[in-house]
Amino acid sequence: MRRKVYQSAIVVLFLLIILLPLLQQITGIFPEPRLTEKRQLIPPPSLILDSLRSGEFQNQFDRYMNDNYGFRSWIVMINNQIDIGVFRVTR
Amino acid sequence: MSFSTITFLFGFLGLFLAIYHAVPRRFIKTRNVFTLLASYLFYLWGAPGFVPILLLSTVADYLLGLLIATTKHKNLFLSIAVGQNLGLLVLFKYTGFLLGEISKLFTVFGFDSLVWTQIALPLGISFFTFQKISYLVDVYRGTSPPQRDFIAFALYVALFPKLVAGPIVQYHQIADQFIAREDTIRGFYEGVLRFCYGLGKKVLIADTIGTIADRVFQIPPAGLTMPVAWLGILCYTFQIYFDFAGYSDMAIGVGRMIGFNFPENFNFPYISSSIQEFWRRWHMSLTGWLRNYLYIPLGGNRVSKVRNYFNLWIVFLFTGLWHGANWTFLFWGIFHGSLLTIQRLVPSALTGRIPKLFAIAGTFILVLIGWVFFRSNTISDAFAYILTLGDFRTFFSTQDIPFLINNKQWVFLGLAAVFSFCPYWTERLKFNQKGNDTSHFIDYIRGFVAIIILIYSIIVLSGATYNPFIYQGF
Repeated sequence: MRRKVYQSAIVVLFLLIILLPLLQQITGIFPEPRLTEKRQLIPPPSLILDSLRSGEFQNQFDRYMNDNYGFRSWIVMINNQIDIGVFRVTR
Repeated sequence: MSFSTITFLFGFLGLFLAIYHAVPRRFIKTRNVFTLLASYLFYLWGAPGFVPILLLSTVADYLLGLLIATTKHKNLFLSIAVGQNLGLLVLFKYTGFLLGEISKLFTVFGFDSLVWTQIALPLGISFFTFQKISYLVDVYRGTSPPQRDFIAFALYVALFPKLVAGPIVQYHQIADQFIAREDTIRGFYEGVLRFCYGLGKKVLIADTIGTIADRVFQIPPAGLTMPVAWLGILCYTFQIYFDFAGYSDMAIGVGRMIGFNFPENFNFPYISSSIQEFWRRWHMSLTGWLRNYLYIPLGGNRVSKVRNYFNLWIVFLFTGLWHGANWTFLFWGIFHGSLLTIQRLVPSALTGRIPKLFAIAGTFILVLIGWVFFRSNTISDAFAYILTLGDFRTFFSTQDIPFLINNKQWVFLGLAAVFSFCPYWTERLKFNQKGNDTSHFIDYIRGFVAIIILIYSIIVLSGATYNPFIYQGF
């Protein structure tokens, strides 16, 4: 029984980890710090049938997601901290 | 769409799982329809131009399967069905290569070279073509009845977790699962673990050390030194394993989350003590397919020794060519076919005397040399690289190593070696088919480790999306 509760908890945790960034991206509930990137972040692409057929829409959407998924600022900062603090590596 | 992208992780996967499990399990046909639509969206994302080919060839194979099962002319319809599948594969994958080689011959004899338009390769065609052939042959042999439900058949072909990179699922292995699937918390949990471990293999190990291999293989052969060449091929040897095994784990994991059981694809290939054993542990779904649908129809082991060696060579030529239309892949297949033939010619009494540790080390080095052919752009580049691996004049030229590999990469290279050569601990943390035979403690560790790997993989993936110094913004 305890094992089943534990397994259910891991499943719920997994679903939260993959679903919360989408929820945050849509709602922006938690205010995130701005990262200083020397470029414009990619805006959402507009869906046109030709661009869907050519794959351009998909490419643009992937780039938009990379730049705008929820909690990105914090995740990027943690990554940089681990790289510098643990591995002594800079980009 | 790739499993290790933000779009898949934070968009497609979560929404797919939420909607799939919102449909009550008794409505399995509705779940099948939804999974099929999701699979086509997944394919549309990576190869929009080839969706019509996937759809049309699915309809054609569905009808041909029914014809094979119901008419007297089974042989004729099987030939047509297999012929059209192989024809499509040859057209898209090998035409450019064949015409290029013929064109080279023309120019040697003073004729004008051929002009042709290079055709793009449809995503996953090598995988779904083999799966469709498996269905057609299974129906022909009577191993499985024909699938009369078109949605179920189309789902077998296009099921997204295994659509673009396998495992290659033989029809009879999965036929029942379109009618009834195990749908339990335990299954979902096992899928989560498997997916997380696979993501870690891909993002943390393969991608991290793969950059070293890429940089080394960009160096012209004349500029290579022995230590750098060994570092490069060692990194590639681990990269290709963790990349492919990671993808397979993720595919098996997503499959388990929705109740499908796909066959295993890897079983610690680098601890093999012979080439024969390596091929029992490497890309097992491909070798299983080749055994059932090529080696056994050719006569397998029940033929003369000479014919048996011939059959082996055919299988390995096929294996090499399956990976790509290039002489390097063909040579890689020949290399492995030759090693296997030599191994069979040497009396087992002799090979049995080799201590296991030496046998594993020797096999690993042979496999590693084989990867040089696999990774190089041309055969001559591969031979030049192999010569550098044995160039002891540059044995102490290690000054370039610190510029090629950083602390983080050393750590993950070390972990790659541990996870490749220490099956006991890796196996204990891996998803286990008989799950309940593990202790509570091990089970708790497995779940905890999987979530940590998932979180750190997401953190590392974010690094690739962050571009602090793009000069065009100044």
